[in-house]
Amino acid sequence: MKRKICVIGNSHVGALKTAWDLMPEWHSENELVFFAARANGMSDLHLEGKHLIPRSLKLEESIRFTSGGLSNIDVSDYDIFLIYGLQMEAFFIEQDTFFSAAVVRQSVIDSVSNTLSLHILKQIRSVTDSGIYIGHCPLPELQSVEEEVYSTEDYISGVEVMNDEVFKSFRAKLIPQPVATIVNGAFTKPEFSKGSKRLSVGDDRDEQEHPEHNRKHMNDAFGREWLSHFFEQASAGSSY
Amino acid sequence: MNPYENLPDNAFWKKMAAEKSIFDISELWSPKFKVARRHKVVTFGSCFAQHIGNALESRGYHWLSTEKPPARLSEDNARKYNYNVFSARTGNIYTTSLLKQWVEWALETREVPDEVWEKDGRFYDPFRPVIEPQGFCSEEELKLSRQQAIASFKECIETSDHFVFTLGLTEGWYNSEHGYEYPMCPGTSAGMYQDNVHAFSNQVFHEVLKRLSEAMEMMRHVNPSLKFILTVSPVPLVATHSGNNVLVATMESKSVLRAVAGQLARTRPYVDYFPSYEIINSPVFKGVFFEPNQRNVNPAGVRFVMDHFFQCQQEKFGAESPVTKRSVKDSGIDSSELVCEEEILEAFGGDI
Repeated sequence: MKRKICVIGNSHVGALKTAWDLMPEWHSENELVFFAARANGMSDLHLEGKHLIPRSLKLEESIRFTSGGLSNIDVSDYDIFLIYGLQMEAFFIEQDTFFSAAVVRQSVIDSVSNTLSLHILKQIRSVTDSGIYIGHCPLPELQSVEEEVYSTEDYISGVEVMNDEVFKSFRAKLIPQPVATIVNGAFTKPEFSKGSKRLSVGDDRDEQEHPEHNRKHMNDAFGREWLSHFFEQASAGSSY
Repeated sequence: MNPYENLPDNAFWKKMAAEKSIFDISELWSPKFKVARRHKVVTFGSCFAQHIGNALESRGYHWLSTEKPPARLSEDNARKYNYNVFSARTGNIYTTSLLKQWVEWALETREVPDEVWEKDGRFYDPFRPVIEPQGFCSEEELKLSRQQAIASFKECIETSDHFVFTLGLTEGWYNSEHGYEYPMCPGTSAGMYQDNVHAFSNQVFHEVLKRLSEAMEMMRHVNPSLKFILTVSPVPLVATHSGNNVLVATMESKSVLRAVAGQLARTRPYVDYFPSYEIINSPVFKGVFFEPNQRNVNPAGVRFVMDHFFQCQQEKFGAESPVTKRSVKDSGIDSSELVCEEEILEAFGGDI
């Protein structure tokens, strides 16, 4: 039986959507429905009963376009939720300075507490027991080989701390960015950023390439790696 | 003709104070050396030192913090965990002997004590008793954090251009068995007071002078170009164990500290004294810079003091380019936001 997966996000979702469309072999087991808006447009999403309703016309249009015609998100329709981007950033434990566990914990809480991602997570969790997964905004593209080198283990430790200190209490799980896409421990390999395109929401900027200096948006190859990794995690049923 | 005839106006009380509005009083300080924006300035000492670091940073000067909070910790929580209060997470260094102790630990000429305090499964650092609001989760965590603070303090010594130290107290508490000093009397903020282990001392002029001199010399040994700016906290004692009335004890203590700072500034070319103490405490200012409790300095007082600091620097060495790094809280934090460990003593004195 197909898993029905609700993907909620902002411009970063573009890479996942393009990859999904390019990978029909995934469609036999999964059905992905995308609900996305550029920038912080999703802040206009409001919970009414078991429906996440857009409160602005612009968001409604964006959701209708990205979902293929739906005007709101009926939470009870989905087996799994993926909340992607939406101000959630990776958390790194700085290894060259000692911090107490209480300070690290507080830092994690501070880093996520005002994000749109957490806001939407809380709304969804309040009305469903379905699995919820979180994806943070991609690590920035490595621009120069001279950039500082971090340890990938530090990145993974940061993901674990975020799960332990924040997401576990919501029975949700943060999915790390696939290690194959990471370089210097804190950056995305440049080949995953090259040719990245704007999220299509039905206006004249759809599919435009991001400018050269944009280091935060990734391409469909990245989306493929990410979704493949996500399906593995979701199949393992590894939400809390 | 006599030697007073050609002195400037600020040498005469009548011209400097009696005939002026308090807000027109100027030229209170003739700085010995320039503090430029490119200079790394570190601040340590009593509560009042926090204002100096904050004022430097808000005016775009290089206030050096060698023990920064994690990047994602909010500003409020960073303060709650005592980051960016002083240049390293030492907590208040009230006495010159405590300063010397920190320097000795940093330069590894004295062993760092093993002592930790435990209460209800949490661990408290006797040398920074309120640095973590809920204490540390283990003895090991406490010691690693203490070691980090010592290493960061060492970095301050090694890399700064100006070391600003605010002298706060002459009274202190010691471990009589091992000779080391606590910033707070054991049993007040944390720990347990033991009559046979913990001893009180109220240092006199030559002791305060000797310890501060030694601390400065040790620091200059590793950083020969380091310069010092001394200030004396204008904030009265919360409580005294000297046997004197707290008002009398405050005056004695501050007088000793003021005299030591003056002595060192007069005799050493690399030491200057900035008169924040006088600006707040002089009868000329009629106590207007104190909060109603007659103890905490109000934001107007802090601003007035720090405006003098920069104005006197400018008059002597010329203006620095007008850069404002932070627009908030123009010249200082509110007294209610200050981190003053000794205020815990108020809890032992009944209602105020």
